[in-house]
Amino acid sequence: MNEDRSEFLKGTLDMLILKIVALGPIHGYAISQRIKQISKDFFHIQQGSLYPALHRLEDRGWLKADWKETDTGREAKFYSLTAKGRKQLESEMRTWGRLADAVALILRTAG
Amino acid sequence: MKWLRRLFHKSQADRQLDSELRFHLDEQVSEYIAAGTPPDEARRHARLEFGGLDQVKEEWHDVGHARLVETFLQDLRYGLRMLRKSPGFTIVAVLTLALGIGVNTAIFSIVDVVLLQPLPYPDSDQLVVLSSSNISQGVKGLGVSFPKLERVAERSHTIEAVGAYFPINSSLTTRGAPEQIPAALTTGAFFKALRVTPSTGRDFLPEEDREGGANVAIISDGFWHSHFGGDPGMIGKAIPVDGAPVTIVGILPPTFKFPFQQPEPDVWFPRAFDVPTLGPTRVHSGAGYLTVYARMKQGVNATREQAEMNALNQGYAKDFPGFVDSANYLLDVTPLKEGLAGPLRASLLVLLAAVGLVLLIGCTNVASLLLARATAREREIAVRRALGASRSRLVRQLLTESFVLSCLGGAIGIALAAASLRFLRLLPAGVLPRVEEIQVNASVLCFSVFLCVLTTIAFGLVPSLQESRGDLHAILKEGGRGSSEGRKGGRLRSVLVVAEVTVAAVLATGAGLLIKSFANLVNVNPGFDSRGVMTFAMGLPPTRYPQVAQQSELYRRLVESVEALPAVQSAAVVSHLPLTGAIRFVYFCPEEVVCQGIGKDPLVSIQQITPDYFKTMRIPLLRGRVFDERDIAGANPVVIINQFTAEHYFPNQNPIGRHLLQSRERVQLEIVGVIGNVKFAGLNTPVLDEMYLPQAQSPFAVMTLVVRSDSNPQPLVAAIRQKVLELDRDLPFSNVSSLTEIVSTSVAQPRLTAEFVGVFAALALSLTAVGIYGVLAYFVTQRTHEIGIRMALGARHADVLKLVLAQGMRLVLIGLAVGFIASLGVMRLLTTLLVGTTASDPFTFACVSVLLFLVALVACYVPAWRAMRVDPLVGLRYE
Repeated sequence: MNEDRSEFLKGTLDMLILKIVALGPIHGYAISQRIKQISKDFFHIQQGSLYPALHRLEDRGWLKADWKETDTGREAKFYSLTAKGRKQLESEMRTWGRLADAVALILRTAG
Repeated sequence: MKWLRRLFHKSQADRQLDSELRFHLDEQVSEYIAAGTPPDEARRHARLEFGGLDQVKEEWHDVGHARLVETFLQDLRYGLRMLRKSPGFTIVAVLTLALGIGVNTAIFSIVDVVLLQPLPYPDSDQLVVLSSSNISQGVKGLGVSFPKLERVAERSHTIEAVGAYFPINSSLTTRGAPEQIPAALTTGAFFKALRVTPSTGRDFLPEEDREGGANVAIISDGFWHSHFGGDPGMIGKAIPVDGAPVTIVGILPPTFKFPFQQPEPDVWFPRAFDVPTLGPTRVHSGAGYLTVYARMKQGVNATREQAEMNALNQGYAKDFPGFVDSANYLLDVTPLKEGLAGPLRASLLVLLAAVGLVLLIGCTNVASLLLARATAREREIAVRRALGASRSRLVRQLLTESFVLSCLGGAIGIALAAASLRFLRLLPAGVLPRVEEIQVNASVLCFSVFLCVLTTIAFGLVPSLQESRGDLHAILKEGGRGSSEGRKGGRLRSVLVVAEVTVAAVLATGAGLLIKSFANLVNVNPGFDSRGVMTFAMGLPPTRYPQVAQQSELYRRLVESVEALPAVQSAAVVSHLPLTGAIRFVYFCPEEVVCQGIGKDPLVSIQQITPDYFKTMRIPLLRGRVFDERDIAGANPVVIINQFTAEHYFPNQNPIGRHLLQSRERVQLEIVGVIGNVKFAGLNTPVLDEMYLPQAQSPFAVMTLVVRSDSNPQPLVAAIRQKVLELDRDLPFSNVSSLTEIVSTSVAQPRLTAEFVGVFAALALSLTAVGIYGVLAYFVTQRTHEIGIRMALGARHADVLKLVLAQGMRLVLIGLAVGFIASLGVMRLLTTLLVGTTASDPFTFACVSVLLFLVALVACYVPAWRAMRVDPLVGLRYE
């Protein structure tokens, strides 16, 4: 995976995970697939980064986890967003929005 | 606190993560299979993409706090295992640390009680002692007078409570035998100032502290148990003290301590203004004799207190110009703890520094040992690093090992310290104040634990950092020996040896100076011959000897009857024995000087004696005569002075036949003799002006009997006791001791300091010798191959010996040189403790250097000798 992209991703991984989980309870493998899908293959998340991030988010009380059966009948750990997590997601999205605007301004003027 | 739960349900959490990851992997494989990849290929592909399962788990683990504790426990187990594997190293290291931490714990325990802990009274920081000083004579620490005490009690705004005490001896006749009891007179709010309330009964009432008050007493808990079996009915009962009944009104709590007076008083009386040896005129005209304790109000400090006392003092001088302590007298305020601990502070700090240095040397040795072991463990560490252990992880693990060593050593050290502190109780009373409180308590334990951590860092950090470095390739490729790392470690160890020698040199020099100083002190001529003299303290109760004539008659008869004993060479009584801390000053003026009156005239120390005193003490007579049968009551009043007074007031003249005037009594005394100077106040204190009066002409109720005899003390004491009882059945004596004991006790503190520092210096030298030996032995092992080559090429045994010795002694000489320079600076701090020797005494420096050199030489010799015996063939094959 491209070096630049992985650096870029690290800081925003938490926010992306929260956003994906906000769409409904989901397990780890599905999260990585979904991110790959939605970003049109731009982001491939290594399992080594995903699971530590997931457990970190769970530690902080932004995600909660349950062991449930999948449609194929296997047991998997499903994550869902808590109220705290929802607030955190909103705040991070706001910050991200402001960041994006600021960067865009500079890129435009620094011709 | 999820991480806490995870710590305890570690295996469950682990299993869960396992399942989760496995699920992920399986899903990935299923996807590949669904896309058409063959199953094996799919599995392999997924695995590769996934990365090592365990590595993921590792990284996940690192996220929580649980990791830290878990790592620590793991390191602990590993460390213990490694230490068990090399028992020799472990034992030496642990013992060295035990020694270092142990002595530090012991000394800190003493420092804690004597210097740091508050006195055993509530809110003791607010307690101060008031004392008088005579500015014109330059004498400080004198007692305060009763009128001045009353003035302070009446007028002070900054004092909450103030009272005073004066120590006396009382006799109590129980079960037919008279017994001398240490007691004290108090006045004012003495117990209230200390905030001590009797546990049974009550404190003194104000009317009992006034003229004509009832005969009452408060007794100590210990006395209550030892003499009355703890009988609760003692309150209100009367006991026969000094021949008169005294009612007990209160019993002090068992926790009450009074470290300011040795021995601690057992019985306390009111009305300290009623002192038989002084008389009401003196007491009420300003004679200073009371030790005054005051409790300052909350928020007042000693400086403010001093300011108010200065003002009160001036007012007092204005209002009572005729009083003894008006003009020329100041009222000093000193924090109470200061008075007790102050003189010891310098010595204790020196001891603390000394044991600190011992610990430093100990740590250096252990660090050296660790460095040596590092080379042996090079491969192990390298392999672990190759397997992925991070440097910080390795350092942490090595430090944990060091911490285990520290803790083991610390535990043993603390146990040793606790055991040895008991021996302090064997010291004569008063040498170490509050000695019964000295033990390994909570704050001392905290200190020791802190030391353990500190020593871990001191000796563990550098080797840990050292060990975790190094070129992996080189170490793993070679056989492991002779790598450049080993050489680096060797250089570090050489530096450590130099450091050790330096520290040992400084400590040994300090010890040398203190020992020399103490030897000087002990060799000071006290002015009398203390061998063969026994002393007995006695006191005549005023109730049975109200007239002075009776007092002097009893003592005369006592001396006569004791001198009649065949074993006795000569005997006498004296009012104040030298080197006991007892002293009394009076005002006088020599002939031809205009007498300005009491309070303004010069002070002289006064002693009342019987004629044979100088003969018994072997104080030389320089001019004139000693007292004899002529000098009785009603005859011409006479006096004998010491050489110092003669030179002071009659320089280059013959004082015999001249006169001195006692300022108070206005009696002219004829000087009939001059005797040699006596070191009265202390072996290290300047000589004072002294005058001696015959007790027949100037009686004193409290005297010490001194007896010179060749025979055994036991039968002598019994015989003398018999003689005393024959004269008066109810007259006991106390404080039986030999004069040599008294002289020895007067220098007990400097002796203790010198002894302790000497022991620590010896410890330091031994540790340094061990350290030098270790480094050199290692050096020889490293160079065995080289030595083999040299010998094969023709080097003789002596050459090899010289090679190794030179290696070692080079380091020692550098250490000595640096130590010498350091000592020149450091020893200056000892100047206050040194007697008769400078802080840069060349003789001591030279002796210490030679001693260290010899010790080091011996330490170097053993490995050198072993090197010498290396068989060249073995050496060549050695790899």
